[in-house]
Amino acid sequence: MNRIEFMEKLEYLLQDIPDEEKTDALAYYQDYLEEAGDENEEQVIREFGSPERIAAIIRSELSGNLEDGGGFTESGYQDERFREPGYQVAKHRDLPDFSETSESGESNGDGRRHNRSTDSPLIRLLKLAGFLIVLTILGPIALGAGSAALSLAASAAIFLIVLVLLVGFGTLLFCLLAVVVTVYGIAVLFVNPFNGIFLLGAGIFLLGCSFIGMVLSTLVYGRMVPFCVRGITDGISRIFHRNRRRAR
Amino acid sequence: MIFNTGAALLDAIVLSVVSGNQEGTYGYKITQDVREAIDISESTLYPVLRRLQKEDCLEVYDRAIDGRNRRYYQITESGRLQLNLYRGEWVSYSRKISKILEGADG
Repeated sequence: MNRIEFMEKLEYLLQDIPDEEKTDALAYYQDYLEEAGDENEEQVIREFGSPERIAAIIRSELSGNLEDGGGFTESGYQDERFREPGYQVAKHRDLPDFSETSESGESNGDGRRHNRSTDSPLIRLLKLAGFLIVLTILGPIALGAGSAALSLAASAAIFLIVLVLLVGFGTLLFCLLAVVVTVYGIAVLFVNPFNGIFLLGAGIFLLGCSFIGMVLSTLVYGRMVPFCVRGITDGISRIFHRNRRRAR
Repeated sequence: MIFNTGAALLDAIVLSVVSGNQEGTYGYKITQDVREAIDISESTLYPVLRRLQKEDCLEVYDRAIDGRNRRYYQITESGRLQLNLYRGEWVSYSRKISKILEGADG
């Protein structure tokens, strides 16, 4: 991307901010690129990151909240809010100039990255060996504990499944009984009014029970079951992801 | 460097750099000057300069250079007051930190 393309894109992105702000910002960056000169143009634009990122920075200053988020560090302006996917500001840290400084052995104020870079292949190998030793020693114990936990989890799961099925079938049963008893009660009403009224009452009671069942079912099938399934799939995928990370 | 530069310290550095030039100075030059002390990125200073301008610490004027306008930043009277405040704070702050960090050895 050259200077003209960059400025056109930036102007396009700043269409909706007040004219005065837009003119000022565009003049500054235009001026900046011209001062940098043809020989530095490419490097400066690379360091700008993208027009989207510059636009985001200009906007954040406009809304007056630049000060409360982020801070200026030696490796540039760092603001977590600019790292949203829409702004492509995440590129910020991966800009070439930063990797150059970290190659030259300087830490860049980012502890996490610093730690990762100190892990030499030898240390990683030693860590892996240690892990394997621990695994062989603790493996059998973990296996015993694991199988106990597994059987406990399995019985809990079966109990839950039975509960879930019970709620469903119970609701259906109550519904059916309510209809049958009510219809029978209406029939009996003509022969024996007292028995008929009693049966009608029982029918209405059963209907009430089935309503409670329905509410419970919607809760169980609409919320709990999806929640459990999601939990299980999440757990499984987490196990796989962890394995992948360890393998690396 | 592993120490972070907070917004106030960056303000102080920028004000100091601008005040060092009687006729004012321009965005690219300010960035390069600040970079002598801390490694800020090329894009960092615009919001800072704009804010200082809005707070009446800096004022701008355009001057024709090579057939185009170059925007110059100049420190204002209230900017100078602010800078003096920052300088005072910095002297006492840095003295205390130095005392702790360097005093531990001796």
